[in-house]
Amino acid sequence: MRYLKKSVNLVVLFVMLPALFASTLAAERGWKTISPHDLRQIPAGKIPVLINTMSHLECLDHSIPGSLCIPAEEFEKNISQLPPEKSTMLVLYCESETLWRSCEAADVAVKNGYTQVTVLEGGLPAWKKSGYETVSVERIPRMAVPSIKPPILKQWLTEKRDFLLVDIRPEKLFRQGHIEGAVNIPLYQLHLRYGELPLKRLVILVDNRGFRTSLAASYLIRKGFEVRRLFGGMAKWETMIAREKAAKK
Amino acid sequence: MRHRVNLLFLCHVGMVILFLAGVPISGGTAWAKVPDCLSCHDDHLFRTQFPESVHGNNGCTSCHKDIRNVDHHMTGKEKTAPVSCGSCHPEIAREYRSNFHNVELNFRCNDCHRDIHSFKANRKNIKLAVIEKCTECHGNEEYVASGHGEAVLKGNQDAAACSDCHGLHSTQVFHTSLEKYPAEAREFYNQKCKHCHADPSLTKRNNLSADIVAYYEQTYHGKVQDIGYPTRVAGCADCHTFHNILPKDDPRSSIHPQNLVENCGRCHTGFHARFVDYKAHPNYRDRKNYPSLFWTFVFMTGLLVFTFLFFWVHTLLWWRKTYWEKHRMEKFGIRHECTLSFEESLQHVQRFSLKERVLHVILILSFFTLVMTGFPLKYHETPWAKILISLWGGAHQAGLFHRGAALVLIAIVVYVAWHSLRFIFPKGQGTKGWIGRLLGPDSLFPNLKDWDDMKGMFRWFFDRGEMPKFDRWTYWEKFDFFAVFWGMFAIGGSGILLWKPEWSSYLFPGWIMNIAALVHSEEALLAALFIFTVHFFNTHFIPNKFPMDRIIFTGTYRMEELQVQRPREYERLVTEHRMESLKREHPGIPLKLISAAFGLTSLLLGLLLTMLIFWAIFS
Repeated sequence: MRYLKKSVNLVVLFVMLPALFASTLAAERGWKTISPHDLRQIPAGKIPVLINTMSHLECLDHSIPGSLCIPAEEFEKNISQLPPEKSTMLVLYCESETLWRSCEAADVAVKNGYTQVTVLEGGLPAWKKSGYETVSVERIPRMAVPSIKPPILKQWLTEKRDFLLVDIRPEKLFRQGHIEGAVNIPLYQLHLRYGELPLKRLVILVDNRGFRTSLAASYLIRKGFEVRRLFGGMAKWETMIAREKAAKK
Repeated sequence: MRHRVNLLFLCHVGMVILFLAGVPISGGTAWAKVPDCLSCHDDHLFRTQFPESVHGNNGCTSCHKDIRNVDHHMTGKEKTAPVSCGSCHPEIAREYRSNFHNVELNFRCNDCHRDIHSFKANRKNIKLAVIEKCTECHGNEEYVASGHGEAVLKGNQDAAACSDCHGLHSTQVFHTSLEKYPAEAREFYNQKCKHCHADPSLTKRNNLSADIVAYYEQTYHGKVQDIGYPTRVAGCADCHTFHNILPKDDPRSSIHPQNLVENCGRCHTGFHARFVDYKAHPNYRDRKNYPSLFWTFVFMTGLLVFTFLFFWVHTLLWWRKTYWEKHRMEKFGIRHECTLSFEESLQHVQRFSLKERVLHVILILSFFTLVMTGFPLKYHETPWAKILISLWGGAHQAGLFHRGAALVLIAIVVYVAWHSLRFIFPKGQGTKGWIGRLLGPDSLFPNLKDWDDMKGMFRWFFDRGEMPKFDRWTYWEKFDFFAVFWGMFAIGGSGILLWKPEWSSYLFPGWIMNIAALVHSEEALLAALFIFTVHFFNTHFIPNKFPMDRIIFTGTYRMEELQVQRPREYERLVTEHRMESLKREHPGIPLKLISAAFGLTSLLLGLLLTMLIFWAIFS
């Protein structure tokens, strides 16, 4: 079970803890959390400002009705999009149980003087699981995007096949570690920078866990690119590398 | 740039399917009655293919609602409302709400059902259709080459397609990553495997063993899995892998003999290659394929049957005789003949030293810990097992307590063994006279008198003689004493092997672990039931001692009791002038109270556990 133990540890460290202790974090950092149910119960006249902290593409594709789109990575830069009244209640949400993006954005909002900053517990997945409505402004129809698993990608890299690895994670994560040869176009910039990609080469998209490449790939396919996804993202890739290292020992 | 999403925008989004909106149908209009739509939307798809599709009996406005003004619609001023598939398919909509593709990827119905206007039900081979659909994105070469995949492709509707394991509209969020929800995922997929592989009619149709799941559940992996703690033990997919499930004679299979070292090595480390001889689905009733396991099972069953048959009959006859005897004495006012003076009869005499009493208390505690941590696994399928194991904090924690208690028990047995040797070979005397001490009246080693006493007891049971005059140790006490040593050999030996099976593989092949597990389990049943029934009765529940005899805790009893219960010992002590040295004060109230409380608690706990065991055996 050694791989499992490692994986469990990773889960505890990187996934479960932030979610479990979101309220603790909130208290320390000066913001609060709110459950989907409690948010839904707020009367129509008092609805707070909702902010989707995912990328523009994702925000326009699906959001809680009435949301602003401000990606976490650009929150500081776009703080002026928030209402000037600092006592306005803000509810930030993202699309991962880690709440990483919404927590980061909440920190920025608090730093800029907002006094009623709230993070949606469980993010958009929890909202959807509760059966509440989402809306689409510019939905990207999902395409059938073939995925490849880490061992196949490794084999292709060894064979030096002609493809371009595009890592759509934020710059910070990319700098911490990425697959050799990958270029970084974060998802929140993809709609601005997709023109940098070669039309005649196969593009393989890489993200954290394989959850965000589906939308990104569908977007690029509609732009005329040939795209595949790395199944399971960097999480699966790193698990494979760890197993190989352990097997060598 | 400021993006405020407004509900009004929804009206401008064509063909968006909102699954969960739940908009009711306002009366489907027959296709033939709404030719107006076709006058503009006159593609081949709508004109020819749609009427032949599964939705062909619906009109356009059955799904595309809210066209109030056709002119406005034609000029683009008015769009149709989002399609709500859930209006007609509410159960699928409910399932899909927690579907991974909805929760994490925001897939909507038409993202998979892209051919919704020409969709035809494939009733001949739905599984094949599912595979074709899923593999559009999930290109899974492993599955297609697997036994399941091959069978589905050949038309076998029993073989698992994607949706049989992952669900169709209820795909779970952990489906891509066992690492994310290890316990839930393992439990989820095990149940999926069991659903088919424990189905008698399905397994029979496909020439598979119907009991393969039951055999797995008799192993440590299966028991821990079944009792609700699957994180640390192998589930089906851990050995058989997820998608490339192949028969074991296929060299590509994870369970092919050549791949077993690597396969087991995914969880176990530091083992000898013979470790993989362990049988993951053993059938100990199968003499042909598992002869050693079969004969071990026969031996252990025989041992249990013989032991309990003898001692339960012995106990029953003893109880009958004593009860009848007591009744007769009460009825006729008969008292035991006592040659002692009143003061002497009240005088307390030591039977057990402080060291022996403390050892017995520790033995009780370790024994109960072992039973209460081990039996939930043995009877994992019972409701009480799950409750009991959760009280320990889970199977892993219970295992730690089990091992700790085992170490205590081993230490006690080693100490007693050393103490026994010191009794036979006392310091300064060497081997001189050791046979006399070994077979003497103060020894716990069986001798000819025990044989005579046993025969005498049976004669007494049937009113054909007097009760034998016992010395310091009766034959059933000697059996109790040696049973612990035999138990330690069987349970302790097997337990040590199972403690670290990887290390044990350097001494024995893996199949010995199967035997060790069987011996450990059956011997535990023998030990527990023997203590909780035979020992409890012989020592405590016999009518003239009921509800308990505190002597093992207080260490002393009245001289009158000594004279009645062990007349030979009394005579020896008097003759050898040793009685004076054994006289003790009457035990104080605190000691008596503590002894009664601890003793009665232990007895009640033992009886409760006995009931739970019988419940498990007969349910």
